Formats: sequence, structure tokens, C-alpha cells
Amino acid sequence: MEEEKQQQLEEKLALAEKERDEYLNGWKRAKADLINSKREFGDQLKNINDFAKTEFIKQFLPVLDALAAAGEIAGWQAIRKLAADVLVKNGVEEIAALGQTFDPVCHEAVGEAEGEDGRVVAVLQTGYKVNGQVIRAAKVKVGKNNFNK
Amino acid sequence: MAKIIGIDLGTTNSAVAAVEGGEPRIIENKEGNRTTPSVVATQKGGERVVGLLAKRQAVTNSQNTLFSVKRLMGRRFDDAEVQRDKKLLPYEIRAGDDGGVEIKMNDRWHKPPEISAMILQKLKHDAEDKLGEKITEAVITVPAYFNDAQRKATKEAGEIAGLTVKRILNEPTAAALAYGFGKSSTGAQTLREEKIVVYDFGGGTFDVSVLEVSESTVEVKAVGGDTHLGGDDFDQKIIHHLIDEFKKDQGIDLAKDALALQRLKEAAEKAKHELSSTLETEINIPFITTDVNGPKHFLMRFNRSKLEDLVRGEIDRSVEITRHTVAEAGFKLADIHEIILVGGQTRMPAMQEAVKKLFGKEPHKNINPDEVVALGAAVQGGIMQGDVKDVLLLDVTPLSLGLETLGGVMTTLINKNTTIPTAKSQVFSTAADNQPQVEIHILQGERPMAADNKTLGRFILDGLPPSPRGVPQVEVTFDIDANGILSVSAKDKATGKTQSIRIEGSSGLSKEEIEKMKKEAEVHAREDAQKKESSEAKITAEALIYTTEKTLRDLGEKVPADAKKEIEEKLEDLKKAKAEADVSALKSKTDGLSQAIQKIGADLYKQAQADQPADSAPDKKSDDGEKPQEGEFKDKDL
Repeated sequence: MEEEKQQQLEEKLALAEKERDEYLNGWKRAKADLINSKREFGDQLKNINDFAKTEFIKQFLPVLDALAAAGEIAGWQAIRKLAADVLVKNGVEEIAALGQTFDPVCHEAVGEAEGEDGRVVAVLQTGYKVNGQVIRAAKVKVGKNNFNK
Repeated sequence: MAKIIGIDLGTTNSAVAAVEGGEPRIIENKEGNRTTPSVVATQKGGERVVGLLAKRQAVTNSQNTLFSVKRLMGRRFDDAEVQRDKKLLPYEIRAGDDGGVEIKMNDRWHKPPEISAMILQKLKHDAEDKLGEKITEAVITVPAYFNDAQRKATKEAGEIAGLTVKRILNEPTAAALAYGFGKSSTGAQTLREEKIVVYDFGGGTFDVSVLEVSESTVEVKAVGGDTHLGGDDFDQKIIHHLIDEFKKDQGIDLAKDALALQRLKEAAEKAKHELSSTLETEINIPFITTDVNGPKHFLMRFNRSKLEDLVRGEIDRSVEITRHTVAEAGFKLADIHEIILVGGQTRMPAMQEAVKKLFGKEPHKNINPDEVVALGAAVQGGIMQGDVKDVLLLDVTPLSLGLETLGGVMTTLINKNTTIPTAKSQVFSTAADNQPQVEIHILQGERPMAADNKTLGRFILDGLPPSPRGVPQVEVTFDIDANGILSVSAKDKATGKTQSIRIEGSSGLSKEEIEKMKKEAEVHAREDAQKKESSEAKITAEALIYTTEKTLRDLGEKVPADAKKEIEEKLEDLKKAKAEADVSALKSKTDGLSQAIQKIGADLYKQAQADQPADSAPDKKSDDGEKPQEGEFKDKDL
């Protein structure tokens, strides 16, 4: 009789301990989730300025493309320079591409052409970085020896 | 215990999600994107790249850049599908010893699961970075039509990537889980049997599935689709259209101009996205090209109906396949309870309209269609994480909770839809001088006036020491525990005296009652706002009457007789107006009196300054210019 009772109690204890661990774990997890999301939210808040800027620049890119396309036509060059100055002041930089070794981190290959193997031989669309982060990769043609063969 | 992540291993793009705080959330990759291209490549130097970077270098390294590997997973080399895809793939494939497919990358032959594993590895790695913990377990989704070999291959891919695959989940089932259907397997209350259609129109493939969700199972009744129909076809159609128009207009073929084509591609994609929310957009690409006559500009208005004309055939085809698949499942269109939209292209209004027309009911579309599968996989992972999650399923208060304050107004302490357990405190004060007690009248509901809401209980806190109105500080705390039991306590900060009440049935309303109360709040919003305005105007008037009388009493002889007469007249007027119903008259009379009383305040200051001799004695600047006490209190009056 005594033994049976003790066994029952032990079982109950084991169950309670198991449940306790489960609940404690769940509690820890919930608390960790909260702390993590708070931290992440804080980070996001810090980045929100950058984010807003990046979104704006992204929408502005077609204008820059148009200015680039205007090329050497008189008058447009000056406007392009004006725009470029504003961008530089805001942490936006053009991605160097022409003549560089092709790097998929900031270049996107859209074709190949005769030229030194693995080097960017033509830029079809300028790429941009904001504070070092690529917001649009430069669209480039990559050189290939004996491409025409 | 590490998290079980959910992975949508797609043909063109993949995504990862995990449950955090009970809710699934997409985990961004290292590049900061929410989806990762399912592309793997080995560069010339032997370096392996996965995802966006692999995609960017594909053109210059096409033989060693592998994409759409999912199409080859678990297939035999001589399968008709493999033979068809073989013609479209730029990389080399061959039959393996076991009859399966082998893929060549950088002079080495790989089995499809090895390639998929490289994608999974990146996803796993990026998720670990983001979550800050080691990931070892995952739920991976596959199309509903995947056979045993294809599922096995997917599982193998997970294992090669160092993941224990807790479950291979059907993509449509994942989507249904993300929307909360079939969650009954958690042990929560069982749902009725539901028939669900998942319409998945992605970038490259179209899948439709008919599911039957019952108490503890999700059964796939029928699947259909087209593995080579997708949103990318739409982009192509738009670009061709734009090129044609330009040719008609200017006689120049932009298709031959790589530079122009690049800008055109971007503009086409942008236009497609914009036309999901606007009816018309402008495609404006200055200096797109030059000919002998100088620079040419591309300027064209493009509207939604034109876009719809271009892709009508594709949409109709998908609808036809859907109709056919439902019939194949043995159901009528009217039998279907829910329709879920998956895949980015389903954002297109014409597509949503077509689906709605087919079934005669609104499809579910509020979860991002690019992410819904990964989110559902994460939900499955969350469920499997163990019983713990059940305990931690947190509820929300369906209605706002608050108390009645001066003028019969309900002041809300806990807003509706607040996740519980939660607690909130606010300090209130008295409305009359020497008020000995306050009554806490606890309310539930969305209406601004106390009388229109449900009374949950009331109690009295007495023994407040005699003091002018607005001085006592009574802190009221509302606390709801995880079971929805509400405790309300009130504490007088001066004496420390406390009273409290426990209300068991605070969420004891049925779903219908809650809906009814919410509806009523909407229906009565206008008149309620008026009632509240009138009540607030009365409170302001009362406060002003009180302040005015006090000021006159305090200042006594200092108020010039004529000014005093004017104020007293206005005071009487206001008292009369207060008894009547005209809110605007009450407000204007309140303003009138307020200005009059302010004038004497200002006059008194001037007088006090004028009276002051140049060599003013410091001891004589005490109470002369005492400002009339404002009629507002920092906290609400009980």
C-alpha cells in the first residue's frame, strides 16, 4: 500500500517536473523572443533613415539613367553633374565597373563581348551603392577571349 | 531548444521563415532580401556562389550556373519531363548509374539533391546569422504532385545541408496553414470539414490544388497546373508590346539595342507592378536611343486594360485548369469553402477577379503571396516544436475595457485586440470638492458613452481625505491574466487604501455577442461622437463655472465692479445654457465667460505691476498677482 502510494507520488512528481521544464522553457523562449524583437526593432528604427533614403534613391534611378543616356548632349552634362553631387553628399556612389574584374557582388552580367577574360568591357546601366550597400548592381558585359569565334 | 525553420524550396526562388513569439516571420537573407533565387554556380576560380550573386553571373558562366534544379529532383533521366527540360537548360545533364539525373558543374557531376543542398545551406546559414542561434531542424515544402522519389530527394537535400527534415510538407497545405486552416492538429478546437483550393501562380510555374481539411488531416484531392506558365511570361509580353509600339511609332527596333532593352525591361516590370494598384501609368524613358536625327525618347501611356488584353489568354488558361482540377477532385465549384492565392503574379487584380468570378467568392490574399508557403512551413515547425506552443498560444481581448469617468464617458484602459496577459494603470482624480469616495464602474465595449457599453462590475473606494476636486490621486489598475480573468484595483495614493474586484466572465461573451457589440459601435459612431462632444462641453462648462466662482470669491474686492457685473451675468447665462441641449450655444457661452475671466486676470497683473514702487520691498510680493486656477486637471476626473 505504502509502496503504491509512493510510486504514485513519484510519478506525479516526475510529471510535474516535466511540465515545469516545459513551461520554464516556454517562458524563456517567449522572453527571448521579446528581447530579440525589441533589439531588432531598435536596429530597424536606426536604419529607417537609411531605408527611406534607399527607397527614394531607388525610385530616382530612372532619372539618373535618363541623364546618363543624354550623354554628351550640350547642357545635359551639367545637369548630370549637379545630380551626381547631390547624390554623393547623401552617401550614394556609382559602382565602378568599366575595366574592373567582374564581381557578382556589385555587377550583373547581361552579356559577353570580345575582350579580356573576366573583365567588364561595357556598362549598360550604372549601378549604385548607398552607404556601401548595393542598391542596384551595374548591368555589364563581360569580356571573353575570342568571343566572336 | 533551437527553432524548427520553415523552408519554401522553390523552382526559381526560395524563402525561409521561423516562428517568433507565436507568429511566423520571414527571415531575410544576407543580402537583405526576403527571397533567395534558387541558383547555384561555381565561378572560374572554383568559388561557389548561391542566390542573387549566382544569378548575376549566370550569363557569363552559363554552363556552370544551375537553376530550376527542382524540376530534376527525384526524376529518372528518361522521364519525358526531363527530356523536355534538357533542351531548355544551358547546363549539361546525363543519366546516373541508378537511372537518375546527374548535373555537371565545373567538370564534376552532381546529383540534384546535392545542388538543392547548396541552396539550403545558404538559407540555413543566413537564418542562423539572423536569428543568432544554430539551426538543425527544418520543415521543407514540395509541390503536392511530387511523388515519393521526389520527396525523398528533397529530404536528402536537407540532410546533406545538415538539417534534420522534420517533415516534407505540401506547398498548398503550407499555404492553408499560414491562413490558419487545418490548425486543428494542434489539439485546439476542431474545425468543420473544409474544401480549399490553392491557386498558385508563380514566376515560372502554375499549380492548383484541391484540399480537404478535416479534423486532423489535410488530404490533397486533386492537383493540376502547367509547369511552364508564369508571371515571367507576362513580363515578356509587355516588353514585346512596348517594342512593337516603338517600332510602329519611330521605325526603330529596340530589341537589337542591349542598352535600351535593359531600361525597357525595368520599366516594364515597374509598370506591371504599378498597374496592380492604379488604372494607368506612364512609361517614360528619355534618350532611350539615337538615330541620325538625334536622340529618341520613349513616352507612352499604358493602362490596366491593355495589360489585361495582353495576358488574357494566360489567365483564362489558368482558370480553365482550375475548373478542371476541381471537377477531377469530384467537387462542384460551389462546394469549395475557401480559395487561397499564392505566387507574386496573383497580385494582379484581373487574376483575382477571374478567380473570384469562377468560384463566386472572394479569395484569401492578405498574406504576401510570395511568402505564404514559407510562413506556413514555419507554422508547421512551430506546431511540431512541442506541446509548449499550445500552452503559449496567447489570446487577445476581443473588446476594450475601461471605466466610467465624469459625464458618463467611458475611458478605455485596455484597447481591444491587446494580447493578454497584460496590465495597465492610470491615475484619476475627484470631480467635486471634499468628495469622500469614488465609484469604479468597470465597462466593456467600443462605445464612447458608458451607458452604451456592458457593465462588468462596480465597487467603491471610500475614505478619501477631504480635499479640493482634482487633488486626490487614485490609481486604477486593470490586470487580465492568461485565462481572461480581469482584476481591477483602485488605490488612493495619499492613504494607501485599496479596493479591488475580480471578474471571471470578462471574455464570457459569445462570438456573436462580440461581433454585435463591434458592429453597434460602428453603426452608432456618429451619434456617439455627438453625445461625447455634448458631455465634454458640459464638463468644460462646469469646470469653468467652478473656477469662476472660486476666483470671484478669492479675489473679492480686487475685481472692479463693472467687470464683476459682466462676469456674473455671463456666469448665469452659462448655467442656464448648461441645462439646455444646444451644444454650440453652450460652447460659445463657455468661450465668452472664459475670455471675460481671463481679462480680469490680465488686468490684475497689470495693476500689480503699476502699483509696485520702483524700490519695491522684497517682502511685499506675495499673493497679489495670484493667477486664477485653471479649470483643467492633469488626469481624468472620476
